[in-house]
Amino acid sequence: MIRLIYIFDKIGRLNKLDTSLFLVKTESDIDMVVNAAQLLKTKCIVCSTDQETLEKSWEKLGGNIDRYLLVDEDDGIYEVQMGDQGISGKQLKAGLDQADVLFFGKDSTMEELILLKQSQPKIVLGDLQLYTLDYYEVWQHYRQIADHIFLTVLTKEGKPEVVDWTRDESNNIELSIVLPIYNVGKYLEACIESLTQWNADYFEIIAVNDGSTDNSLEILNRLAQNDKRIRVITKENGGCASARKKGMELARGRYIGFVDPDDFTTPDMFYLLHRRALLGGYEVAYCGYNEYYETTKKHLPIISDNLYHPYNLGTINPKEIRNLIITSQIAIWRCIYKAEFLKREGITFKEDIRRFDDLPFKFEVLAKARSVVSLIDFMYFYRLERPGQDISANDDRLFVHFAIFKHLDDLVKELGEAEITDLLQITKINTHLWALSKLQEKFKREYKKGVKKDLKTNMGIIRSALVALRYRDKKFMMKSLLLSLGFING
Amino acid sequence: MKPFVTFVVPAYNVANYIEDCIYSILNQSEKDFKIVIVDDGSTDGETPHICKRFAEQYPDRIEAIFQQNKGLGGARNTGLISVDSKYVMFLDSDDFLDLNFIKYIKMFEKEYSEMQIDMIFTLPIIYDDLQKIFYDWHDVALFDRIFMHNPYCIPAINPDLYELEVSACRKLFSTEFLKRIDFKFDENLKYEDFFPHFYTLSLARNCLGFRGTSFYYRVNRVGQITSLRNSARLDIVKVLEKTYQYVASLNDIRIMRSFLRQSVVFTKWCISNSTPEIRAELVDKLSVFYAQLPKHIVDEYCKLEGSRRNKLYIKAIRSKFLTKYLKDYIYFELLKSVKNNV
Repeated sequence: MIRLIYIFDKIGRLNKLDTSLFLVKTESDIDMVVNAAQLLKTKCIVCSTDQETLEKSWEKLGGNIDRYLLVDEDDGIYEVQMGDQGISGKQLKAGLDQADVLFFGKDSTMEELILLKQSQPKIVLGDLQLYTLDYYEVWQHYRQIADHIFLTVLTKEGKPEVVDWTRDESNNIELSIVLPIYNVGKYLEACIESLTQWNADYFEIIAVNDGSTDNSLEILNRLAQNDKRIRVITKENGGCASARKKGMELARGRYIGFVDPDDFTTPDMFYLLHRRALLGGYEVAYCGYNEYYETTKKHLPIISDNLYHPYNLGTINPKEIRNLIITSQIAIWRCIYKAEFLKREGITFKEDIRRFDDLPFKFEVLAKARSVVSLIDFMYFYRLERPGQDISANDDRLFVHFAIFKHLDDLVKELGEAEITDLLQITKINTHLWALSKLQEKFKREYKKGVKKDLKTNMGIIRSALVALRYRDKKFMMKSLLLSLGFING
Repeated sequence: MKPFVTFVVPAYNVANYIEDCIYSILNQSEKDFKIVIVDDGSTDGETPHICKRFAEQYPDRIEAIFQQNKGLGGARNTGLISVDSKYVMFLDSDDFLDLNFIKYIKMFEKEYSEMQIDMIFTLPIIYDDLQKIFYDWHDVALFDRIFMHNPYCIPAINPDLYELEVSACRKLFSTEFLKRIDFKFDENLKYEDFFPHFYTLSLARNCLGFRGTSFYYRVNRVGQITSLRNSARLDIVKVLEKTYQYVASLNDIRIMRSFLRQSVVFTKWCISNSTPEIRAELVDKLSVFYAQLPKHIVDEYCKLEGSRRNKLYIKAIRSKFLTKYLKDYIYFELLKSVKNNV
């Protein structure tokens, strides 16, 4: 049994509580009740599905317990009178009064828990293993009733994790998905349909229409009429960053996800992400993605991506989290973020950056996040070969990188940690190398000038090469040297 | 009758956590205790109110003291004055006790009641506030090695005790023992646990190791201000100097070796968790400190040190030429990639 004792501590001080209900299935559950009954000054009710367990708990607990109940999945609940010789035979069909706390152990089944819902517990405490009982299902059943749900879960990998959830009276939304929309009428419907197939009522889609000039708004309004979970917000054109920022401000969910309206997802992507993030209260949860080719309609999962150990188990090691900045192409659209975390750290989008606004956002998130988890599942489809895409830019639009890195330079200065500064340097080298390989010949001269200056803001040439060696290899070190000297031509 | 144990709980801007801590003591299955809360000039406005409310609610169990800010050590000293129980424990306000701690440790201590026990070592459990998960304490293996067969131990005979983590919270001190050696924490310095660890152990006669869970040590709490960014980190050098002088006066090479190992582990951690400016200054000062240690002592330490990284580190920091490389974390990281042959 994982340490439920700690929870007893917290409950112990809530003297307002009247009744606790224990679902007892095994010997260790009985021990738990013995421990708890000492501490709780509440009325205690023990219930079980078989008489033997009830008799055993009577032996150990005796008169400390007020009521013994026998739960039958088909017939309902019976009151059992206990005498000196165990069960004294009397069995009366009984209703279940309101109980303030519900405890259950590993061997409980979903049917029993659904039956016990009628006790309307304010606090649900459970100890379960992932392969016997699904925590998400328990949570879904009790989230309407209970104020506080605390479940200790042993995952398949053998890692203990915790669901610690408190109901927010003012709002019912768990997850907000923000869509910045600008002239994507052709793809919009497919995108939103892929999201709305998840039939939960506790997520919302915030579609921010950024002054589209095509039929996007009409499509949105039509979709929103049929589905109350879609909120349409209209604003004047201000760029993708401003639309995302607006959506983020209006989001009510505890988690926020961003989807590009020209892409689409598998129907269960956000269900699975939320499910994973809820277990352990992770600040960032992400999954893998596919590249989807518009012309051939084929997709390709990107497997050379940092989805695997230790991230799939969930990590709280800042070094591992920061390494994600350089080892994976975490685009913002395949993650969900804890809203509380974004607010606490003041992370938002920079409106003055018109393109690639996800780069600084991603950097800031990973530099500051305290817990991250990944799902090894390729659920997002990233549409390529679409005309007018940012990623296919090869002219002076790429000069926006210098503005982005100026923001990030300020950020790392404020954080004042050498390691993050170095990771920024690697990011700079990578990005500039990529940009130079794309850029048209006539812009290269000017771009290279900018690169030289940009790479020198935080550190000298030698140090920069050393950093490249530390995080990558000798080849990358040479590239870094050549780039800072302006010898690389793409 | 005197209570069995008094908990001295310093409180400085911990309104979110102190209730957990105090209630975890009040909820104990054995009620043989007193609590002294020392509000160390909190500035958040709430903490003093909470302390006052507790003292009014449980006047026979809880005493609240309010004082100007004197630091953790100063607050503990103030709390210590009024203690009259058999044992005293310094609990931090963001930690919380195990439910049955007093009950079990009282039973455990009773077996040794004919002896004059000076210190009882306990084994806390780390509680990760971020993920609500529990971990073992860092030195479980060593603790078990020392106390596995016999929970009774004399520091003069078994100097392995010095290698245990320096934290003052994890020990129960006999009040009489602290009075006898006229013990006080340093008021102006951070890292107030380091010197007392060596000081009290060198004077203690009978120690016990209690294997049951004592308290839950909270890590990763939201809004925790790590002392990373301020110059208090430099206090470590003063603490090391003071401790070194004391340990040298004991003239026992085994204790000296433990001191060096503890200091190496501790300063390595300090260096890798500092901002660049403080890091440079810290390495300079540490280098001066380590360079003045007599060579035979360092050699003696290196002879029995199992970790190659630690050996390399102490050699590098003693040499004037290599010190400048330690200032840059890149080289420090490269040091970490040295293979450890244990």
